[in-house]
Amino acid sequence: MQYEIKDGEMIVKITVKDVEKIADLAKLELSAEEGQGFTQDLQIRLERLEVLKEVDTSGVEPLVYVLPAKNVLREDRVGQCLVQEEALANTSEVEDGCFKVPRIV
Amino acid sequence: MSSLLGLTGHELQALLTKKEISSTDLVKEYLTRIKMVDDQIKALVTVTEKEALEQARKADGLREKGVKLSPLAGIPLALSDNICTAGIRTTCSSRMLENFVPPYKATVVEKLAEAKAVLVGKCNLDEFGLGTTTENSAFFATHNPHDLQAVPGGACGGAAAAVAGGEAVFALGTDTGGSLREPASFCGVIGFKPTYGSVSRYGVIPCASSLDQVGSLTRDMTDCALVMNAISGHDPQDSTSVSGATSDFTNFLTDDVKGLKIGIPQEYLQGRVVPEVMASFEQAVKKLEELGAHCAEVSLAHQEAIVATYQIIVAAEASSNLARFDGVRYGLRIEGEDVDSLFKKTRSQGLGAEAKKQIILGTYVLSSAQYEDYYLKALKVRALIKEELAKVFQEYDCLLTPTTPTVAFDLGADKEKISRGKLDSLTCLANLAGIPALSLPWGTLQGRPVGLQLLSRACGEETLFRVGYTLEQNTNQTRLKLKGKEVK
Repeated sequence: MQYEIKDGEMIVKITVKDVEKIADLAKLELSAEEGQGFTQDLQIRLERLEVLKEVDTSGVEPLVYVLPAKNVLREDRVGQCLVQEEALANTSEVEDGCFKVPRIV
Repeated sequence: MSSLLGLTGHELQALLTKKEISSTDLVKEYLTRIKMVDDQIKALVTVTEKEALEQARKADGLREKGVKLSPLAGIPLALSDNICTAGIRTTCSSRMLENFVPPYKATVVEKLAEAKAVLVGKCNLDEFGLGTTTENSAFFATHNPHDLQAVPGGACGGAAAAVAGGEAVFALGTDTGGSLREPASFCGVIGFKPTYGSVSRYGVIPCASSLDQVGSLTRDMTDCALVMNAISGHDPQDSTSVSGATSDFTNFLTDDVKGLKIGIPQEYLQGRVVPEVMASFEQAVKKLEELGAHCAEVSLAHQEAIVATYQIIVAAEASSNLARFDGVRYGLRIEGEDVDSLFKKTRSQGLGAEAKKQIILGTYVLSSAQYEDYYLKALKVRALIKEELAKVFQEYDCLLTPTTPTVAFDLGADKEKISRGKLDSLTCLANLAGIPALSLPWGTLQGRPVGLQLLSRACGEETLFRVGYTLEQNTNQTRLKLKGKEVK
């Protein structure tokens, strides 16, 4: 990761290479044009997030859900569910009642 | 017959009950209207003509038999196309799901079917709910019925335009940071986002799960209450659904705001809201004071950080939610030589630019090197924002703001320039805190509607309905005329 100084602050400088690496992690293939455009876009979006650094959050617990989270359990009983045919209805590649993908090993 | 088009659900129900009209007549009237105006408004991705006529016939049959029916029975509605309908394609306005036909329905769809409401169509939205103008739909942009040059707002712009343009009496959509309220404001209808967890999200294709909530678009507060009565309540299929008894929302329709304490975050609004909208807003404040409410200035803590916190959480959660679209189990599939290239080809061709940009940002803020500085930081600031807001609501019954910083702008306009990326700055607060929020029409500026927004504490729906209903009963600003091609 590279950094640059802007308005006296050190900020992250995003490169096309950074974006390509992120895209690879997210299973996206980018065209050369997208690579350029998304790099600029990410830079702008990240600069707008800088304001967060000014908030003092020492000792604050992160809030994942707005409601008090509790474990939800139900009785282990067979209920209604999709039949195999319905579950497979939205894919084009099926074999022996299974979803099919290209050979992995 | 065409005078039926501007009526609300409860007004139509009165005619149905008196047997002055049948649901079949009503639905036919709406389907004709859709054929007449939707080539210009482009609110609908799918029109469910055959199913609608069948459901209308069934509702009429039950009424003939003297069966006691719900207040929504036989009334035409539309659904944002991110809400699953069994046997009817549900696209999220994405190439990825262009041909996806869900094998099951969302709980809210089941509840509306039990109420015998009639689905006439599925509405356009920003792809997967990511956007504020509905221009991010992979299919087409929706136009604002009040001014066809203008955007309808987004993400649920199609649903708001359908209600404003007379293509449905009411609609359901989702609100992640204002996706219902902003289009409601731009299109001059009522948009309501209930408390997080009060309406089931089962069968609703998620955008950002900790922020998303299903809500309604209606023409008046009574319809809003009737729709909420139909769709609220605990659902064992949604683990974030709140348990406990639900209220009868029609009990909240009180024409009285005397003594209510209303906070106005003046400092937050300054520099964000354009002067013309501010002037309309001040008229509303004056009106509420005349009606006996006490309005006072409040300050919001951490106000500069609200939008940034929201943007990080949306990107992080949306990028995780969109990871399920890989071409294997449903949706678009582009073959590749190995699994990795199947995933990459499918996702690269199936997702639009804004979805990809959100995935890039989301993946970045969740990466191990950046996690603490961005995502974890945002969750901590979210905790502070929620805590500070809870303090505000110890003193005030609700907060009042304009819904959006501007009225609707032209299609194709550079919205970055107009809002500096802060179009949802007034709405996203409610989602961060999980609180209920209402957007109410408040007249127009050069033909484009203005919206008022009310926020209250979690489960404080009663106050919002009380203020909304009082403004509706005592002014002529909240119910705008139906728009689109000349209504006869």
